[in-house]
Amino acid sequence: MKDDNEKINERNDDDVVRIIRHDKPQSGKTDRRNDGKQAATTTKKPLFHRYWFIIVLVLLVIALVVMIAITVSHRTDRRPSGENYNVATKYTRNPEPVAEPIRDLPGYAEFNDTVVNDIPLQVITPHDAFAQLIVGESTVTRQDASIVLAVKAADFSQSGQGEWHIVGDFAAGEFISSKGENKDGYCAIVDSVITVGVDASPVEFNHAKDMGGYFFRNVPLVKDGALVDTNPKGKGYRRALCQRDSSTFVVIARSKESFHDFSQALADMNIDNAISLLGGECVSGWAVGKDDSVLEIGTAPATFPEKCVNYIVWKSK
Amino acid sequence: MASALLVISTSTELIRVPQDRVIFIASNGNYSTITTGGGDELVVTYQLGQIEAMLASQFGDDDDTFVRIGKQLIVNMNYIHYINISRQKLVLKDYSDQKYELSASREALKQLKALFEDER
Repeated sequence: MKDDNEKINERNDDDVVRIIRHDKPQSGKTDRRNDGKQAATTTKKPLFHRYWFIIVLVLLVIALVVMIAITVSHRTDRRPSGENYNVATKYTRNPEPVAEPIRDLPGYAEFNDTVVNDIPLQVITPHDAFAQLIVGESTVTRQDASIVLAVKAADFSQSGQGEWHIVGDFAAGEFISSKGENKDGYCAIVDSVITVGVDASPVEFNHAKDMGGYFFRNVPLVKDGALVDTNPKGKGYRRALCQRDSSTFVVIARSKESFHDFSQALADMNIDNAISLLGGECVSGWAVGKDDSVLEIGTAPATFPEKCVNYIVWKSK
Repeated sequence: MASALLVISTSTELIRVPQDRVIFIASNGNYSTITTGGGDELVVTYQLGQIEAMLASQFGDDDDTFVRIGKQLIVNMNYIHYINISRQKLVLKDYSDQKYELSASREALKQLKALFEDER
């Protein structure tokens, strides 16, 4: 027969009952004791000390490995010049039939290349199209002739239990979720009106939910014309959903950039508000130009969890 | 004597609720919903674990007003009215006799019941 300690360890978080006092552990994650008494904490101190020592040691080792990795990558990171830098996007002329009849629809995406602060950027502006948020890789298909621009939107992550979820507040019709750490940047689409902004409060999320609209969160890049500089470090192929005046468009960095440099470039383009979209080199969407040319956004093949993949999609009116 | 105040501050808001007005607090994803007397609800941009930390830091060491029940609930002990383990039912009743029917795991309710029995 199992002793009491073994039984306690088997209990899950739903079974925890504890009185909330000042001297109780507050994480709410590791305290699996269930006797409702606070005295047990004092006898556990030496164990916690050892535990924290090991955690600190592991963190130091990880930090050392990361520093070495950054140093090595910095030495090998040379920004290519000319056309060679274009590795995150690819133009295709007369590609495989996207769908017929694409030209019967008025919507299209306009592509513009520019360089800001030595950062090569592509600006993709959808015209005669309306935006929505769609969940599921298989539901956003190139056979859908009405799609003018599709690009992966909210980040997704795996929980400790191995379950995948979209990070932060998310609403797409019936699909509503609010898991993981909320980023302050948001995009709300209500009654076909798209709003990009930076606000941690749930007001916009609740409004979008109530109105049957769309909502997702991601890293904020520009707020009211000024860069937001509280973002993760490191370099990558950055993408952003931007608003300037009444116009909404996607900006893609064609070289690896830090969030800071990318945000500064967007602010220098006089963008009012911008949030990050799922970045990286992986296949992340496409845009269809007026002349049927297709711009591939991200080129490296990758498999993502179906129920977490989400796109912001502009469809032709 | 006036009840102690629970103060919750965000970057844009400040909420002050007398301790004895808080009936229960429920997890709502990344947010928490505070139900106060009369059934009023306040949504705050904190996770339940963060609210638990606030309660612990703002109220005294000897304060046994609130109890954490599972991942979803923090309950004001003074308003616990009825526990039914087999039906996994927890009913709170506030000072105006308004009832709030909640649900928790059998194991948690068993412990909660024992907690009150030990106090007798």
